[in-house]
Amino acid sequence: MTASKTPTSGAGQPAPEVGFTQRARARLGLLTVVPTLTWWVIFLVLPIGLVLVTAFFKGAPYGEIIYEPGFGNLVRATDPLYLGVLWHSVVIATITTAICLVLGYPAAYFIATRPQARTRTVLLMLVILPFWTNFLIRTYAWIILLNREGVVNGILKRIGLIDEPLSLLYNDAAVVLGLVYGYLPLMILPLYAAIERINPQVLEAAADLGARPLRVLRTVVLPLIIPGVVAGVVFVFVPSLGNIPVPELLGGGRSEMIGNLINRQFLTTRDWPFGSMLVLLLLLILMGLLVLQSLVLRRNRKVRIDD
Amino acid sequence: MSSQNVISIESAVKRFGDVIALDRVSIEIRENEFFALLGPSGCGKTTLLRAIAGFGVLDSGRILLDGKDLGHSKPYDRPVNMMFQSYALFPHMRVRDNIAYGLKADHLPKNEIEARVDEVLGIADMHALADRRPHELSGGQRQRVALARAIIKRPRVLLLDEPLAALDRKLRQEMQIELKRMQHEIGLTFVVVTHDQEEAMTMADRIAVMRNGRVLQIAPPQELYRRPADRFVASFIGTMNLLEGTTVAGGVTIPGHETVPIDTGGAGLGSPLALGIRPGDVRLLTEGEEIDEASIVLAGIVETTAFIGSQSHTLVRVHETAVAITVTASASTVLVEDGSPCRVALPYTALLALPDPPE
Amino acid sequence: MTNRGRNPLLVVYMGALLAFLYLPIAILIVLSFNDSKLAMVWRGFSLRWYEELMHDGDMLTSIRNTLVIALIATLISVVFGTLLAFGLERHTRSAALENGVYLPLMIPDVVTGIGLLSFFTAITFPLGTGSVIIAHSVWGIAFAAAIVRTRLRGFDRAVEEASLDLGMREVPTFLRITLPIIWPGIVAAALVVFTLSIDEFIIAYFTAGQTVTFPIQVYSMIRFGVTPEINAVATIMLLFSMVLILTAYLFARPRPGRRSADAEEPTT
Ligand SMILES: Nc1ncnc2c1ncn2[C@@H]1O[C@H](COP(=O)(O)OP(=O)(O)O)[C@@H](O)[C@H]1O
Ligand SMILES: [Mg+2]
Repeated sequence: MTASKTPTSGAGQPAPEVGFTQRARARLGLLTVVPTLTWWVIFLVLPIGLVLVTAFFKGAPYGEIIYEPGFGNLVRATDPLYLGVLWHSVVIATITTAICLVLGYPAAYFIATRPQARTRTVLLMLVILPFWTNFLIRTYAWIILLNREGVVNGILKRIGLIDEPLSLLYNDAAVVLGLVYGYLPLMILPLYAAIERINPQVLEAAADLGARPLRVLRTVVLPLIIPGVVAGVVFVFVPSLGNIPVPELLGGGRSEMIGNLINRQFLTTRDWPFGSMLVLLLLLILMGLLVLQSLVLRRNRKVRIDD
Repeated sequence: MSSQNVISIESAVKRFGDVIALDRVSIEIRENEFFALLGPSGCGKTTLLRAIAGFGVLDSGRILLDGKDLGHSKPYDRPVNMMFQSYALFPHMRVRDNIAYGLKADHLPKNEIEARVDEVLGIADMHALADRRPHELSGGQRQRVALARAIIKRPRVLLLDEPLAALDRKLRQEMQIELKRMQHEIGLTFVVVTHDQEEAMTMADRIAVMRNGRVLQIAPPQELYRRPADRFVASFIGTMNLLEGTTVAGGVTIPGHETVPIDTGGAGLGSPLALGIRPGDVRLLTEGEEIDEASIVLAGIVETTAFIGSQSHTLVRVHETAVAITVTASASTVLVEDGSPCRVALPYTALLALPDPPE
Repeated sequence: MTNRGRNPLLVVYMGALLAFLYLPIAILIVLSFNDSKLAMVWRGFSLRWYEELMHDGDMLTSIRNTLVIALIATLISVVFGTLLAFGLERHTRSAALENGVYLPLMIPDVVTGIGLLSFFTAITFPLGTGSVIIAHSVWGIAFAAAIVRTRLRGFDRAVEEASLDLGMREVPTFLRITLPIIWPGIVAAALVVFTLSIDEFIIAYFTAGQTVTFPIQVYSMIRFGVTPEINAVATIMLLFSMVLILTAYLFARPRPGRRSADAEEPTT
């Protein structure tokens, strides 16, 4: 849970064989890995495959699926109504991620630069702890704060700033707030790990070798931090994009995202093929993100080698 | 194969991919002997020790224990115990349970286990620490627990992999003597791996010098020093001055000198062969001094002199070949300033013919 | 980074951030003890919402369902995950496998949930406790494997060899040496998976059918609006999760003393 440094005992030393023959080791390897892989093929790969296939069938009223392959769902998904929701989701997730990055970086930096290991551990723990608690309840906490009879309106009224309660809930801002609140720890953790890895002596060495601050930043600091940033971005963007409860509870249907749309297709409208197509589009966006991630990481590695 | 050999290693070969860790290694280890495997890091010492213990199957060759082929028998079926390089103490067990572990594995009766653990705790002087856990011990104490755990079963052979490497210098020297004393007292056969020649020379009855998976020479310490088999052994054990030469009929020539009559040990004519001489055997000649012994006399210049204890070590740069020759003498006799010209004499009788080690 | 001292601005910032993270939760907890139904009216300390909770049959059923699901999903995850961790650490040299293992953690919950809903429906597997258990084990295994693996990575295998060398066979060696040493990792994995399972909403929401798990129950209550009873149940859940996770952390934490016993390894 914390980015603790594992001791490098035995590193470089080849793995000993512990009296097993090569064959026995291979058999043991199968025994340990195969059950899980089977489990995952059945309950993860097949189900997702099924969804991807279903996306190209046709839905009928009353929830039946007509097994005629075609691109009807894809065409339907390009309807501005749906494209709008898709775009809206991407925008909300992007803003959320950006805010998490801006809020998270100083915190990660602060924690990583505490001189005492104990302080670092405690602060990190404090930041991560909420993440391990019930997401719904944390979302609900904001309803208590922001609703018309809520704590914030109450306070504002009491100190005489407003007469009538403000509508703080049920808008995009509330959704972004909820998502940031939910996933900020996921940004801080990898950022912290990356910053902590930077040895201040490396920076001093770079400066000592005559590198000017900007150059130090570009050639030493950024290449080390970028992997952390990229990981944080992915960690926050992915669950934000497909989120269901936050837009539902804090957006009140007025800030619908793709997750809600999918949810509706499956549990209300019961048009599973079209819902599946939306899942496919969601996966495509995420795949694009992963491609982007690997591009950034590759470029980053090149910068380090070039200099 | 003589009957008092506890271990006979016959042409052992072990490969790890492209690396040949053991290359036709043959060694016989005698009863109650303190035997050292000496060589630079990566030469295959640990691999050999582990093969004796039963970790890692040999590609070819055999290891016999008391004349019986150990074959593919498992570590737990071999009456051999090992002290690991990392000590490998069981972190979740107290010292007492670490030591008792081997006896418990043999399902000995409880009271016997207790008695023997107490006895070994006594030998290792560890009664006070018996209830501690490994992380509550110092490096030296851990080392003693590891040793106690390995000897309690009275193995036919005790294998020790760099037993002292993790200790600081002073403790290491103390433990060298302590190990030797213990081996004497309990009467076990010890096979110790080390890369420290001083350590091997101090402790061992016999030493096998290894390089690149091969055994270059097996001999008692004194003989290794006096009669090294090749130039690698010669330089690995103590300091050796080397002069590059060529084999000719009746001896070896070095450029600009008459043939040195020396036994070339069957090296082919015209093949390169080094002449070696220990620093203590070289004589630094004073101005105009002649030497009556048959010697190679070289002119050079004094580079530096260092005084260590009662001895002086002088580095002489020979003019012709730019070779540096170290001369060791008692400090009082040498009074040559740095930079001054001088001559050194290398008596024929002190010269050793040193072939290249096998690749 | 060169001036690593205190930057007062950053100290204030860190405080504000922690307040942002904890204040909403804290307010919720305080309100759960408020005798009044209204958030802005403090009528005194009371446990009446907790009492009400005790008599809420639906809530208790959902808690029971969730506990059953979490226990069994944890068991499956830890057994498979530990095996997998061993396999990855010791028996395979497959980069694809190495990376693939964390894939289940990367897939958004909606996708996993929808996938399993479609799949279970297609094979007419009844939706309910069983399907949620399976669904949770899918990512539970990945989590457990990751946690156990960190423990295995710091493991000096010479310790196992020492055991074999001292005459203990493979199976007793595993039971007396390997298992006790990695045990804290396994316990931590179990606690983490358990915590995640009792809090998991989306996947359960799609795969539970008519069965109501605790998060689903909370969700439907929230949709009806703010009630003090939710505050009470939320308080219990928050504290429960935090205790579980802190315990897991204490187990997973590499103990410096303990570790150094086998970490002090010369490099030859
Ligand atoms: N399990 C292994 N896998 C691959 N190579 C190994 C293994 N064990 C040892 N080696 C290689 O074999 C050679 C000898 O190693 P080792 O016996 O440990 O040397 P020493 O103990 O003399 O330092 C080294 O080159 C080492 O890298
Ligand atoms: Mg070694």
